[in-house]
Amino acid sequence: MTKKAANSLADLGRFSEPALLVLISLADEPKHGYAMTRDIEQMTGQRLGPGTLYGAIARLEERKWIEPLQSDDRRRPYRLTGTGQRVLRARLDALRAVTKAGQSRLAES
Amino acid sequence: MIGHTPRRLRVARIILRAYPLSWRTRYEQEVLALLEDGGASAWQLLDLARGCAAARVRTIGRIPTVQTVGAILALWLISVGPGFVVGRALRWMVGWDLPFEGIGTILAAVVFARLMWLARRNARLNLDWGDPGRVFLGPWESAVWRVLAFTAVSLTMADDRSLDAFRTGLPVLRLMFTPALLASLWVDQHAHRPWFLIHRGLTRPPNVPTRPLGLS
Repeated sequence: MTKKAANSLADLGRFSEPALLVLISLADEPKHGYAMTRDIEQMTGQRLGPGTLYGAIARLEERKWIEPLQSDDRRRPYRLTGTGQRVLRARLDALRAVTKAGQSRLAES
Repeated sequence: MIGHTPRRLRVARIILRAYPLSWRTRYEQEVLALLEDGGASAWQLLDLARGCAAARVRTIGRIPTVQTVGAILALWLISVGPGFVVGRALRWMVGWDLPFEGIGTILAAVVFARLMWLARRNARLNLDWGDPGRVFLGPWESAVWRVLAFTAVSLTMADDRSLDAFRTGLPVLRLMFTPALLASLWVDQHAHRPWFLIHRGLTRPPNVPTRPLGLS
């Protein structure tokens, strides 16, 4: 599951990076769109545009990695599902391995 | 509200109207709320327009008829290549002036059958727009295909008779091989570039619902 899950996030094409950021943003608590953009901006210094953000949200929702919570407000919050947590964990593990390899090679050079 | 102008919000509404209906039903109000909260800069409007193009392409790519026609086109592009290359190569290297149509037809039929078998086995007759070669061919077959396509284009360009053929007017089908090869090579080479709009990330993976949750 681990490698497959990590690769499945990469299958989102140009939305894979925004999707990863959305998953990370939702990892601690449910958030609506604006809260996600603020959170991601604080994390990365990068502000996701509405087209990119909701393109990623639509793809994540289709795959059932996130799900909307009931809300009467237009600002609908989303939360991470169990599958989403597994995918995020796998992706972060893969990135950790890449980071470790890169850092050790830089240290050797 | 932070720094948005009513005019920009109006523009955002116009852009949102261009999104597919299912997308609007589900996300339009959320996006408007987001823009009202965070402001609608020109960059965000541009991003919204880009997202609209992606959503449209995604929707079109999910229409079964479009997928089927696209898959047939992709198979044809991939199938005619080897026949064309072998016919050209034989004439150029050993002087065999065999009728290209004969060789091409046989080889194309073999390749076509193989591809159909692969497609059926994988149960993926939904076209991968950006990279048909990777849907219908395995990794090594895809690599061979690139070499064949490149060779074919090179040979065609180096052969004066091709230019004569264009001038004197050969059957349309024969003349279509070169643009077909160029197109498929171009598609294959550009498949994973970020600016290539129609790429594999926009196609529906198997067994994934086509509509977001919350839609009947």
